Amino acid sequence: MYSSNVSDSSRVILLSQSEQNKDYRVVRIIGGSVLQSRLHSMGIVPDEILRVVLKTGGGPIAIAIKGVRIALGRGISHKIELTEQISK
Amino acid sequence: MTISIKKKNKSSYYEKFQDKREITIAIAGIPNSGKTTIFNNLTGARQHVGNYPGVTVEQKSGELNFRGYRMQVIDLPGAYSLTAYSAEEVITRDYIMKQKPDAVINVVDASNLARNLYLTTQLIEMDTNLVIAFNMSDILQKEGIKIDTILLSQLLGASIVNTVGSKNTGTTELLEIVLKSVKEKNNKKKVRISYGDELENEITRISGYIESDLKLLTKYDIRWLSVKLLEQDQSIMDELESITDSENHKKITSFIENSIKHIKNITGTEPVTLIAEARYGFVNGALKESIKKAPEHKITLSDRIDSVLLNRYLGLPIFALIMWGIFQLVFKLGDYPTRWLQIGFDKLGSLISGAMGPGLLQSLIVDGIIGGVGGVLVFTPKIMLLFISIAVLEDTGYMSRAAFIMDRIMHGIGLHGKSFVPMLIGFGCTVPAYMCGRTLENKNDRLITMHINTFMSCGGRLPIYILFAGAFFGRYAGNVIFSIYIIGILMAVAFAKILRVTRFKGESEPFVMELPVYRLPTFKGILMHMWERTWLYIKKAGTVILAISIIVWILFTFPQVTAAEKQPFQDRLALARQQYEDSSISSGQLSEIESQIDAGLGALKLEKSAAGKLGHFLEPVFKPLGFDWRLAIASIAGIAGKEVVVSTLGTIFSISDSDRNSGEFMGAIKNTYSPLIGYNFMIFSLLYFPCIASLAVFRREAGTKEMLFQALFTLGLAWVVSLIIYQASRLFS
Repeated sequence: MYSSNVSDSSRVILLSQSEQNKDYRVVRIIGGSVLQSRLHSMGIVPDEILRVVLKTGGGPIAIAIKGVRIALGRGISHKIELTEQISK
Repeated sequence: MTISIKKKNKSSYYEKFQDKREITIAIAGIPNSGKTTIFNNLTGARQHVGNYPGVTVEQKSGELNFRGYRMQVIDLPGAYSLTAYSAEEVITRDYIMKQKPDAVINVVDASNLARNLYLTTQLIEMDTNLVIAFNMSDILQKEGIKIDTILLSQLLGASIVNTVGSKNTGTTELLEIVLKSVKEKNNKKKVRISYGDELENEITRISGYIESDLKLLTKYDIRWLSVKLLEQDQSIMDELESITDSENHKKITSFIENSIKHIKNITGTEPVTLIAEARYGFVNGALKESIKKAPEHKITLSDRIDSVLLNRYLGLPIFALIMWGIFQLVFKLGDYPTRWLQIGFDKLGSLISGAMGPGLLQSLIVDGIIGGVGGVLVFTPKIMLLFISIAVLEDTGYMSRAAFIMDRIMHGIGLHGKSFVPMLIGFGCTVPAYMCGRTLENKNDRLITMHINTFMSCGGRLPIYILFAGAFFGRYAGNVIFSIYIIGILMAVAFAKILRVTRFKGESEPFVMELPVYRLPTFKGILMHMWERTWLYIKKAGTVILAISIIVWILFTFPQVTAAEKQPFQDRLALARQQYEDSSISSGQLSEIESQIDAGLGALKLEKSAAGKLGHFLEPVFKPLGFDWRLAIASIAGIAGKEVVVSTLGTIFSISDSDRNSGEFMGAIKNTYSPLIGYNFMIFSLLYFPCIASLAVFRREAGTKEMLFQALFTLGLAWVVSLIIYQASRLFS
């Protein structure tokens, strides 16, 4: 459970650098405990798979995680680290 | 029902003695779990809506009788978690912790258990008497998913009941199970969520330190407290500070800091993340054991709708169209019932006038109370339509999409998408706009949105613009009025930024919001939603308005005109009536003279009144802006409502009611003031707070301090801006 970090060797990117309609694995959330627990409560925890559903130019990003759609502002998208998940 | 209870009581005296006849049940669940529907099913129409003390989160409670028990049901606000993140979360936690309800019904969306049960783990940890309502369980059947609820309920330590909120199924069973679990409260198996060795060690160490070393007594369960401290829960840390002396508090804080550092060192991860992972792990483990076929999360109808509604190019136009539609509905369609109500109140006024005959009491009731309170109540139909629209937007799930679409634009002024809807409503009426500010979770965001909302020109200010722009700018009146609206928007943008760096520091809320699955709202749900908010408006705004109306009436009525001062008017009236009887003037001429005399007497009354004297007294304050005592009085009267500015000026300029709409009024304004003063007065009217009703609502939503800030800040701003405009223009011309 604790070895969650970068066990995967693929490149770590930020959510803001992600591409629409691709799947990613959450690596970690950069930020204070308030932001972390907020995002955790919405299902965004390390090792969880998310799909970028919608990227708007400069606006918020919609992701699908744990079966729900969540909108994340641009600010937060710079604080979530991901690795690309190649779908089998 | 009663018989069986009686029988039981006879058979077991001890049980009767133990039985509580009143049971409190709290309903908890994450947003969009269908919690409110379950609440409505349980309580029906027997609901009370109030606010939690100190915050604007609504508290809904209801009562029912079941099997001889009186059950009080509290609908806790929707919360994803029980950390101290939002007001909703703190309220939910505090309620369970401090009020200790006999049972907690945790409503979960059965189609997405992995996520919904995260809150459940925290309810389990709080040692609540938990009953889980598997809501929307029909979806599971439809998709062929089988859950071993008996096993799952053992793993979670809580009974599980299948419900379908929208069809009102499972409600009675839910109550039965709740009653059963209350009776068997003490023989319940306790479930413990394990956090793994590293964390468990620290939890034990912290618990031991607090209990044995510091000998601190708290009302909290010690394990729960330790977990919360490792999570760096701000409200728990604050509370700990308040119950310990500074030395002990320092000791605890450094002890915990060390623990957190230690955990980070060996695991490379923050404790808050480890705790969340362990909770999800617990949920996933329990689900793995009890679910045969896991639900698939495929592309749903909801995603297809979103691909249109959130489309990069279509999203904004569609949103604009929906907003335009709501505007039309509220302010066009709502105009008819508003007018009927207005006519009704006028009729009521004249009926009372007729029955009572002229006099002070009649004036108080008709002009003061019916005029004032009626003037606010006539807005009720519009408010109802607005709240219906908001309820539809919320219940379908579109509201969060609107915030998504507007987020980029609102971000530019330091607010996020959710602030847009109240601002838009502000163009109609500021009162519901303030109330709509409730949709914002973050306090600073909410307060900034409310404070700048006053610059969205409300419908009540329009008559002022029409009068002054019409008087001075003729053909260009429309453009001039438009410029006032634009100035208002610019002011809002500027002050959103200024307030953010001065009074409401800190980053705006990070924008995290669920985009719930689109749902067809139920008719009943919409109506209930609408009615509970409308009732608050009628009740609260109504009582304050009543008091204010009476004060305003007193200011404008006393001191009264003496009989000697009235005499010349009465003489002229008598003369005119004589002339009419002698047929030297026509009935048309007589009524014209009568209305002139009425207007003249009205002007005299105003000048003699406290309000009139106040106008003269305050003239020095208004003079640097180019305003005379008449505009001063009108502005003061405008506190009651901006529409009143125009009617007061009418009284001052001795324009009788029938001539209000004629060119005569505009002529009088044009002859008295310059275009500069006219424009300046429009700006002044734009900038100071909309009306006393709005302040009353502001106070209820944000507290006395913020209300006073709003009042003084807008008055000050109006004065300064008008001063600059007037003095600068004089300098350059």
